[in-house]
Amino acid sequence: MKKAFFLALTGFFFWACSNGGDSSERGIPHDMQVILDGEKGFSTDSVIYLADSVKYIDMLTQYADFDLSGHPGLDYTVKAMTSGIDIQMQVLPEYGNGAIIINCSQNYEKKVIFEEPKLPAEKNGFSLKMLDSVKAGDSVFYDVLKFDASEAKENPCNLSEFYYGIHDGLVKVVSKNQIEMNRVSDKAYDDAMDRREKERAIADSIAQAVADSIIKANTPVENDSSDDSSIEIPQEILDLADSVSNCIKNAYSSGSLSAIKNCKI
Amino acid sequence: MKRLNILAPLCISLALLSACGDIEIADSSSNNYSEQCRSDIDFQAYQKDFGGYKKGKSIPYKHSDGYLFSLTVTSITKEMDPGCQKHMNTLLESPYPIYSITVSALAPTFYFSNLDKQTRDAVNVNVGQYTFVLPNPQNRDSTQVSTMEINGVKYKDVAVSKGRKFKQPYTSISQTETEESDAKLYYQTKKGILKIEMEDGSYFAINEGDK
Repeated sequence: MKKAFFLALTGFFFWACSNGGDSSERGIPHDMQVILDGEKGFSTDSVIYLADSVKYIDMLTQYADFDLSGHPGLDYTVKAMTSGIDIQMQVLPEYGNGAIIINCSQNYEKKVIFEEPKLPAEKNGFSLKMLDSVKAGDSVFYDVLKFDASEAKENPCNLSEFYYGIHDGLVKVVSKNQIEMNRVSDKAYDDAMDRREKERAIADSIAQAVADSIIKANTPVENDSSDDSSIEIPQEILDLADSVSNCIKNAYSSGSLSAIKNCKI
Repeated sequence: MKRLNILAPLCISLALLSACGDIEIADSSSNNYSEQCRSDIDFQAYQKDFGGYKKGKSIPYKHSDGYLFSLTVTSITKEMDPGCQKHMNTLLESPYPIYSITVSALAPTFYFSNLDKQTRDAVNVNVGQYTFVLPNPQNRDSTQVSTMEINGVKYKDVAVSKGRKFKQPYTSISQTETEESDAKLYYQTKKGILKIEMEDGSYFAINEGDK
């Protein structure tokens, strides 16, 4: 009798642990299904761009897999090229009673797990909610999942919020000091590249102009000569021009044009 | 007593039930190789030369787009591998621009020290999708600059390393394959990261001159 009672309890335990484990019978929870439905028409852009409202812009690569070895789900990853934005999100309807797992830190083992997620969901100060739309820069994105870590006591993420458009991937992040980076077009990135190229060219042309003027100011005038090649420029003047020119270029490349004042012009 | 016999399995089952609930966030379990290795190995000695990085230290930088920011040492972990080799991993972070930079060393010191020359080890720096490796100076493919001026301060014995980036498209955290890039790291044993130039033309550099 005792044995039978113990077996019954153990059986109850296993039933409880695997309660609803076969989600194919139970069906995918509605809120998770909405995210998975994003597969239809999901952005094919594997390269996206985020920028703030001033100058900073970064290229990111994103990848979404909606087929987890034949099982429905989502494995999404986005990683920035230069900054530390590095997010993985998994939507797993068949994990227990369903789970959304988020990782947004350099420590890939520090995950935030929302179990049986019914949106909005909350876990230890982390929250998830579905928004109808979000304005990011000049664009409006629809059906956006917002992850908010701003209320978490211990936030392993290097950001405060991120916004995942179910058809578009990452559309916005908010830094820990509340600076927004929004999705922008590839044209915005190209413009930024052009701007940086122009700034480098300006530094080079300043350096060349200063070098030329040093040489000109120190070149003896030969009134009677018609042949320019006969004018001899002292080597120390050429060295000085070269040195000042390099100093200006270095001042630029060290990120400080104000350092030009140290170039002994 | 009979009642106890009935309650005992009930309690066990309840305990098991509570255990089958949440699967929680967890830190990586610290490995215990240090217990198998000599316990008197002095991590402090090479922490001193580890770019001067100490937990909580904040280092000023300037970004080419004009941003002034600080990289703060948010974590330093020390691990011992199965061969009792020491690994020191440092995480530098800034809230904005959002940077999470890892600096990890297998070498006893960072670079260009006499101790480095005795080994074939390297220092690895990871920024975004870029990886820089500063190998042993006697076995290096990076170069050395004797003096470099950055934001008004001169730095001696600067190592310059060309970076690699993840092979595109990057699709998973388990991806390890990399390809060549034009990114560059300027690094000094005493100060750590001096400057990083990215392929997109942006860069950031240590900014001690404005102190």
